[in-house]
Amino acid sequence: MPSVISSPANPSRLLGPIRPELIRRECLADLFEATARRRPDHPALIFGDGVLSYGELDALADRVAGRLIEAGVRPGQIVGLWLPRGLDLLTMQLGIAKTGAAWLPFDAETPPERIAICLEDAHAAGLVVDAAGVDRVADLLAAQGASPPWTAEFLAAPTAIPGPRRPDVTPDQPAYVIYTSGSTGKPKGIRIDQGAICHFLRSENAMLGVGEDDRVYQGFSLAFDMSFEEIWISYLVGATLWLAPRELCADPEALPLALNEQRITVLHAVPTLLALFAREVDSLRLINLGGEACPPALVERWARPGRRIFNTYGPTEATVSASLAELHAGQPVTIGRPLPNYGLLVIDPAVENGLRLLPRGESGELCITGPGVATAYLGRPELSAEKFLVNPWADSPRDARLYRTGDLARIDDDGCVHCLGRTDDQVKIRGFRVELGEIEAALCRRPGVGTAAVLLRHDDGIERLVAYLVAESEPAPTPGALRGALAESLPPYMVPVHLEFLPEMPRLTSGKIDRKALRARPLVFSSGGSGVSDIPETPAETALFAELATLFPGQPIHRAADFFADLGGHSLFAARLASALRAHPAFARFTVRDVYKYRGIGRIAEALAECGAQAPSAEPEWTPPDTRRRWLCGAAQAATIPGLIVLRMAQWLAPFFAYHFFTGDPDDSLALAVAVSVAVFVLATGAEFAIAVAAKWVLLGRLQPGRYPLWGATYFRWWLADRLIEGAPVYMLGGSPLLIWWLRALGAQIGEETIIGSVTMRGHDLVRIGDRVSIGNAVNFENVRVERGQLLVGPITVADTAYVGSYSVLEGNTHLAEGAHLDGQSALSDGTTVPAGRFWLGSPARDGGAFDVSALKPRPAVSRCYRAWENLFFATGCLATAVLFFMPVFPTFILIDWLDDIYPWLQSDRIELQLIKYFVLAFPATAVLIVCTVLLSAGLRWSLHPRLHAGSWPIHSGTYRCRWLVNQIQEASLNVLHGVYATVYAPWWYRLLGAQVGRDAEISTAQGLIPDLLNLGDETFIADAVMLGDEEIDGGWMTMQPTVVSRRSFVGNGAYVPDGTVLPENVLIGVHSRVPDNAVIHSGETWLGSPPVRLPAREQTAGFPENLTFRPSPRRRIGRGAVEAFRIVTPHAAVIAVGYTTVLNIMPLAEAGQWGAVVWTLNVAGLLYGIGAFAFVALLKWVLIGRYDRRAQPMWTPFVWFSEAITNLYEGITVPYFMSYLRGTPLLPLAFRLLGSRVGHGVYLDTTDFTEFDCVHIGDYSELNALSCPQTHLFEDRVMKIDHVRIGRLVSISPRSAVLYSAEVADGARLGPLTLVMKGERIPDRSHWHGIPAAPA
Amino acid sequence: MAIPTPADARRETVRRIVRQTLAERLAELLDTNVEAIGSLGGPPGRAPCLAAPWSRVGLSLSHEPGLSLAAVRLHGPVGIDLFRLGTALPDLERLSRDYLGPATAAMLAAQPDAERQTAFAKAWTTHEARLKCLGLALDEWSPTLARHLARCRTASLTAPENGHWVAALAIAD
Repeated sequence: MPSVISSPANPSRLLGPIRPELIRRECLADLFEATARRRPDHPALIFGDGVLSYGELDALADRVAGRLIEAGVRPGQIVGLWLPRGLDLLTMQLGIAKTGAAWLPFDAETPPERIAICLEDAHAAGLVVDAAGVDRVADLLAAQGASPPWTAEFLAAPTAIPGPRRPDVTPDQPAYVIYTSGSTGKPKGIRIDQGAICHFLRSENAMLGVGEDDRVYQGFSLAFDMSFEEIWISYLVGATLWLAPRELCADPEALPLALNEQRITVLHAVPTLLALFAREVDSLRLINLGGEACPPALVERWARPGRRIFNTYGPTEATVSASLAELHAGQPVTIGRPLPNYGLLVIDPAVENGLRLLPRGESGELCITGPGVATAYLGRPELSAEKFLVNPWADSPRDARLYRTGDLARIDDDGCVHCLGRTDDQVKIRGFRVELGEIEAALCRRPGVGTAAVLLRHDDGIERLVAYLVAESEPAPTPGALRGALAESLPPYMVPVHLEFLPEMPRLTSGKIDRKALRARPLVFSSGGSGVSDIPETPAETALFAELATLFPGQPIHRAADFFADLGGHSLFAARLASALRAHPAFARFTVRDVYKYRGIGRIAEALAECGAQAPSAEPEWTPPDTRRRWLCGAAQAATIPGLIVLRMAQWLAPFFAYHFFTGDPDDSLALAVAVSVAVFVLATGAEFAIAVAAKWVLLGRLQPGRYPLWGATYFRWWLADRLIEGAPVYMLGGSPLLIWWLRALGAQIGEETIIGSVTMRGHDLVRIGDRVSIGNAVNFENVRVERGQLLVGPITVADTAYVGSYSVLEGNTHLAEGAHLDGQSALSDGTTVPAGRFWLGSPARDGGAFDVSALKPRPAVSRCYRAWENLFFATGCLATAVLFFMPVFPTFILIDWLDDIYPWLQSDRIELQLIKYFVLAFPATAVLIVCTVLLSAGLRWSLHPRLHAGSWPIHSGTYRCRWLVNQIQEASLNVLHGVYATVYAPWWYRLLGAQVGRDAEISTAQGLIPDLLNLGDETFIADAVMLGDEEIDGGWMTMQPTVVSRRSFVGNGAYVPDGTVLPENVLIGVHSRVPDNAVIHSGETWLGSPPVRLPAREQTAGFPENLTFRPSPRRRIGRGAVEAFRIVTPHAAVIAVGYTTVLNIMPLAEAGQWGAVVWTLNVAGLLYGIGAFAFVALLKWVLIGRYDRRAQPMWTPFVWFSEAITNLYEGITVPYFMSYLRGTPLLPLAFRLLGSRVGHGVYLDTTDFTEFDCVHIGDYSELNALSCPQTHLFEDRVMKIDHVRIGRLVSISPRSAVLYSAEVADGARLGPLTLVMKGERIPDRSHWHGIPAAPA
Repeated sequence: MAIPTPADARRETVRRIVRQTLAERLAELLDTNVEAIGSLGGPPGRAPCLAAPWSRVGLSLSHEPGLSLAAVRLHGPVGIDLFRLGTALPDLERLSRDYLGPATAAMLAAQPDAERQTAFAKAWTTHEARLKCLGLALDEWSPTLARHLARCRTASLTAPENGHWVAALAIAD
């Protein structure tokens, strides 16, 4: 059978396929019930967490129908339906269908007055509403003498006995009624019968092919008949409907995501909605567009193999759709051909002389024939007679009548219909079909109005509805009052913006209103009633009108006006309006999207009021913990600190002591002394781990999740355990099974085959990691943190095969489900879950799509035996590297002892003289230590293992162990050589390890790098704490790729450079940013954030001569080299000096067997050393720098060298031997005050990461959690810029957040984890910000 | 393509003039006649588009009183935006933070007062050009939006009467 028959005698007439079997004697309820019987357990509706199967929905709707039938509802009657979106609405709709009656749906936003009019017009038997809607309509219905509405709650209430069934329903009884704007002043109702709609569903789906396994999105309002395609075609075939929550329906970002997540296969939509979708929806196999013209670009964008796209066309009067076209990219968009049993014809619009079919190709009025054509408009015989005609070209009773659509159309040579616009005087305002007559009639009903004429005018590029009125009686009503009255009964877009009273209406000789004359009148805004703004009545309106008056000075502000069309607003105005409104604290959540969404001033005001009614987002007030408790805790903490320092010193004092215990006499064996010393070193190191584990269990036991008062007993115990755990040299264990054992010993539950690069954990008991999990390097499990005077303790769970990228931060109460992936440099904040198989990224982490499991190679199996041998390898490797890198201290000792011997006059009993002597002697000795360490690591590096190459290897392989060993050597040597970071020596050091480093590269504390695969170009700059191309481990495989930073590129502090990155030249990667994928990044660009964003412009630092930035003179190089050499050596010299002096003084006590005195002396020495380390750096800072203040200083100047030296010494001596023990105590703020910082009372500091101390200002009771940092300087274009960072009172900063210089965080604000406050930014008081860069949370 | 328009013309007139001129230039460019180009449909506020076989041609328009800009890209989307520097915007700091993002806001705040308005106009037009290029509506800045926008490459344009006009062009692959 051909799909379309073109009647040869009537060229512009098309008939769809003739399918009599689609026309049956049935009603809507029959269709549903057949499906419910066929597959009762299949899900019918899904809304949020609620799922109703066909069987359940059937039973529920039966109850509703039973109650309605009991109440007297019968086939042939009409029942109003006015409920918000949700399961209830669809249940009620089905319930009405099951009575055999018709429903009359209203959109949730319809004014109650319009509902009352329509109900009366349709002679409705009643109205179904929800409990909330009753109050809004009850009075109106009562005034009409109508019965009170039924509530959904009443109708759906359980019954003991089944209700009555519906009597027989005939196909000519109504199924539903829909109202559209009508020209006679009243909206017009279109009644569609059961036979018509049932046939339509079968007919259209014969073409669309929605099937029982489809999942269909339900987004349309029931008042729009495209909802039948969604709902009732699904019911017909037994598909599943997914109802989106209201807030999702219009969200172009969230909706496609949700559709994908819900695996929706069928989407019916208006083209505008689809065009707004911000992303592809992979699951869609069928898209049906309708309701408005479809732009070809949309087809181009959405067409893809395996997906069908349809365009359907039809007025409500012909039952939803009458024609359909399948759309293909690159082909013209038409409305296609008639659906089965439908017909389309094009006639001459001038019907006064009879109906005349036009030849094919000519444009005329499109008419529809077929079983879908409605009988008539409700109660509008004249209008019905005009639009519904007898079809003179009928072939069968099926197409006995035709409907004139009023649309202009043309049939092309291929037999496809092209829609060309409207024929009649309907106008389109903002996409709505409006009959001006309806507005005129509404105006005429107002008392005092005689004649009214409404025009759509275009003035100054703005479309406006303008009403001209002649007053009937005095005083004439004011335009404001008229508009107000109209708004009660008409939708906002139908309320004229401008109303003008005329003494007389201009008329043609025929007596008709002369619209041309009216159109020719100039619009007068400045004076007269209509030029006056409406009077604001609510606080929201007051604020809105005031802001609009500022933006559009001199223009009247009306509720009915459209922001864009009437006021002439455009995007910048919309942006300014939203921003200005947000400045009112009550409207802080208003968005520019609301302006676009609502457009009308009245509607915007309502949206504004709604968002004002929501709880303001201000952070709650809190009371800081009391001072007495703080100092009590502080005193307890202070009492433990000397012991903690001694414990740390013991690791190197014990071997010192052992060595000297066995040397000094002429016949002592040097070999024995070294052997004993090494043995003692190994024991001391082991003891540190053992003490930490023991202390954790004895002091803390098993930590329970919850909230504990800051400075309380639990806090103290946690703090002490945390200090002890932190003191253990865990860096030796990274990337090996030893790390897993260590974490398990501390209480973490970790499954089999899990691999962890390096991690900080703050509450081990609450960490549960599954099997085959991959965790990268320098990951922070910050599941214990302080917030608003409380210690928050929460669990972190990472399920099997999940992945946590390097440099990520996880707070407590977070969860990674099975196979979930968290990208590097991401932050998972408290309460967040990454669903199974999803890939999340960024700070704050957000969904980035499904993780492509196929990208992972299968995990290689590994035997138990192999793993045992591996464990042995790692254990031996750890021990061997630790011991090997301890060896260089012996030449150092030998040198000092030798110097001591050849200059006997240096001997003294006075401790301060001893200290000075050894400090001086330690300089050449430390130089020996450093040279030996460098030679050792280089020697190991070049002798032990071959070069590492790019590629992918199992984690159980020689290559992985080789990589681990390289890292081990690097870590162990950096324990001695950390001073070389950020010096002129750093490039040499990395070259020695195998990296390619260009001329004048600056490398600060880089982490994770693989020297063999690192290439840094000339003049590159790697700032502090950059994670630079660490290996990628996932699914049992390690991948290493070359990481390249090209000439003059800059990587900011704390940034994450993923393995395999190739940065082109002259790129700037901002502070804490993740480097974007290679494909998107180009030379000269600036990228910032996680996920990274390209910035349009970069602040250039200019004005400093090149010889102070990129091209220093040899003298400056030597100067800097000297200062930096001093700073590398000094920390070790200090340690050695103190070590020698201490050992010398306790030796006699030890020889005398006074071990008690030995311990006591060690304690005193430890404390004195800690304090000394602090005092030394403080003194140096005050002498060399004085007070830090705002300044910009090029890199090659002594100020920068000294400043960096102080920072380095502070980090090298003061922090490890003193300040790190003060973390989390009330003593740390005091220490910082001595260094020049302005730190208020009761401040909680779990970080020592301050540099330019004087520039740090922190108000009372603020809290800075671990790894957070007031970043008071940055290097930009080789210029060091310093400025103040001001943090107010009661501010709470989560782990790993940074506040850049010149920024201010106002009182009571809260910053989330891994948050970056940008330069010069001000975080308002009591607000909550999160992310890189910080944005309101 | 810069199209001067009467400064006091109605927006409707301006649209007509610009679309007509654009259609003529497109006809030359695509080697066809103006009729084949059609009306460059699309309602006000939406980008004009061409029917097949030229539906890959990206078009973008921006109007200010006195001058309109049109951008044509033969293969792929394009966005253009024009800004007339007039009275200084008092709420520039708030606007830039809300819509252009914290980093740009900080960059603008760091500008000398005399240059801030122009710098804002540059940043704003770049932002709008990208939005237009991707067919997105204006929205408050968010990392997600920024990530979308980062797909575009942009260029600042030197518009006639330099000093009064700021414009930017964006393309995406």
